[in-house]
Amino acid sequence: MRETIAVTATELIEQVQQEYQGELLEARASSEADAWLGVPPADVQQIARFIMDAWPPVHLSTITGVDNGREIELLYHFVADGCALNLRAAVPKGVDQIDTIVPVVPAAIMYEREIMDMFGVAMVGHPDPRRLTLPEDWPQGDYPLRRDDVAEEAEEETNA
Amino acid sequence: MPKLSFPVGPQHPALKEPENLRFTVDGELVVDADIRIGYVHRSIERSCSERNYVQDLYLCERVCGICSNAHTLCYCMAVEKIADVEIPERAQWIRMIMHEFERIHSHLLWLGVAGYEIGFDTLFMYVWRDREVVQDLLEMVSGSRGHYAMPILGGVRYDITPEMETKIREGVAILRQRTEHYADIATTEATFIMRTQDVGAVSGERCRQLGAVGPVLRASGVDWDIRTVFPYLKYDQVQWQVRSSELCDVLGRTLVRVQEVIDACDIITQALDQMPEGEIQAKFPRKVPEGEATARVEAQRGELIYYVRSDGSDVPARVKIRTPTLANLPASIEMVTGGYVADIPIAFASIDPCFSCTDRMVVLDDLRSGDSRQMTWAELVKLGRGR
Repeated sequence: MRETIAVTATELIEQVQQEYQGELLEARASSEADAWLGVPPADVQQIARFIMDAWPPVHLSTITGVDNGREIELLYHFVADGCALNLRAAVPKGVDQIDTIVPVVPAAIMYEREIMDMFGVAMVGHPDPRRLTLPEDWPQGDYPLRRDDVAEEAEEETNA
Repeated sequence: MPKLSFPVGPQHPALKEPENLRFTVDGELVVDADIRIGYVHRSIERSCSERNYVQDLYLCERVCGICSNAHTLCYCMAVEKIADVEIPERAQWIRMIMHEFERIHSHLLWLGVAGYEIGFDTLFMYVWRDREVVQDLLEMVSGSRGHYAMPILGGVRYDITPEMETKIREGVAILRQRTEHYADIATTEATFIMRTQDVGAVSGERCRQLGAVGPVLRASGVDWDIRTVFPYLKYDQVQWQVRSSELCDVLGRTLVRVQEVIDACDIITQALDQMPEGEIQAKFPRKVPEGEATARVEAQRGELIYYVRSDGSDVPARVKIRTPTLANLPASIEMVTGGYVADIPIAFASIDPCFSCTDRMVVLDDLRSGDSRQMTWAELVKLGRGR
């Protein structure tokens, strides 16, 4: 029953490399069906457009946010023709914004709203930037999945 | 006639879970819809990075009461991928049997709810009676009807004994026969067809664009199932096929689900035939090496994805969960738009929404004073650790 993988992770990375003018910050295949790519935040929309056109139909599974301390890392989990493609872009804290990919990938609409809620990374050009899971009276500037407060609390606990 | 906008919910607009829908209607026609979620957000993702890998197993199981097994399975798969632990053959087969048991119970539960939403309560009662068969089997194998706690890091908790095997074969035969009867009702019963045909329609192309998954996507003619896109467990060693329908409506979604129950029965029987004897647990390290991984499974509602990152300690640095209902929400809004007000419940219920899954924050209301108070993270941590 196993369907053959139409594009392997290595092939996929090669094709993106050919298309992309800049230098990829990361390009590795952790298995035949798992590719990891890193690009500067400014180029995410461009790469997303290329992925969508190169292996239609492409499915966007979700967008993960990770707080790395100095930056918010965003991971776009695509599935292109039976191969998982994880596109990574790190948004430095203080910048806190990135171009939306909704015009290119309509499926990103909910996931980008979740990132805005949880990490406070503004999606520039998002068609519907309302809150998704947080209540309307949630304080402005408080982002539940940011790790800033953990560092502060740890300090408070030590001092106490 | 002026357009009218009104809220439905947050109390139980479809299934017994809270979410808020806002509909704009022109007479009997729905012209616009909007959805507000977050009423049952429980900060599970954040809590996962405050607990160790074993504790998270229990936490992830509690993301959802219906697809609990899919969550633990997906979590285990992601963590095992980082730790590079191969689980024993027999454990993989048992995981697959549990995965399909859960599909049966969930799809039958949905079919009952669908019957209830269209005022066909007889169907609801019969289906839920038959669903008890699979509930009993789940209880027999795992000791529980709800949270089975079967997948553990490195394998499964309990083995399937030869006595259990006999009972499973008997139970699955009854379920298969009864589900064929429901497939017959769904295709021949006039009342059922009238309430489901052309209701909640959305095209396959639109589903693709909006990122819909699972039976919603397949009922719009797209053969996309994680079990074949990224074969996991033993799905490549049993005979089955991805079920789809070109109907694009509630009827199509019903047919896909009913057929998947029949297929699940066959998969379980084949698994019992092929399952080798052997160990069911592999040794799993307490600390997981540095790394990251994604895992996807086809839960009963569609693609479920977990992303786990490890920093080399016994506590994950990040666990991200995306449940199928969130992926299906944009499509569900399109389903109700353009339809009749009377069709809202069934059209909305046809994605089999699960909001405990989708939300995962705590706002406490003081009922006596009517004040709403928000707990700080520090207070929450104190509350959690004090217990």
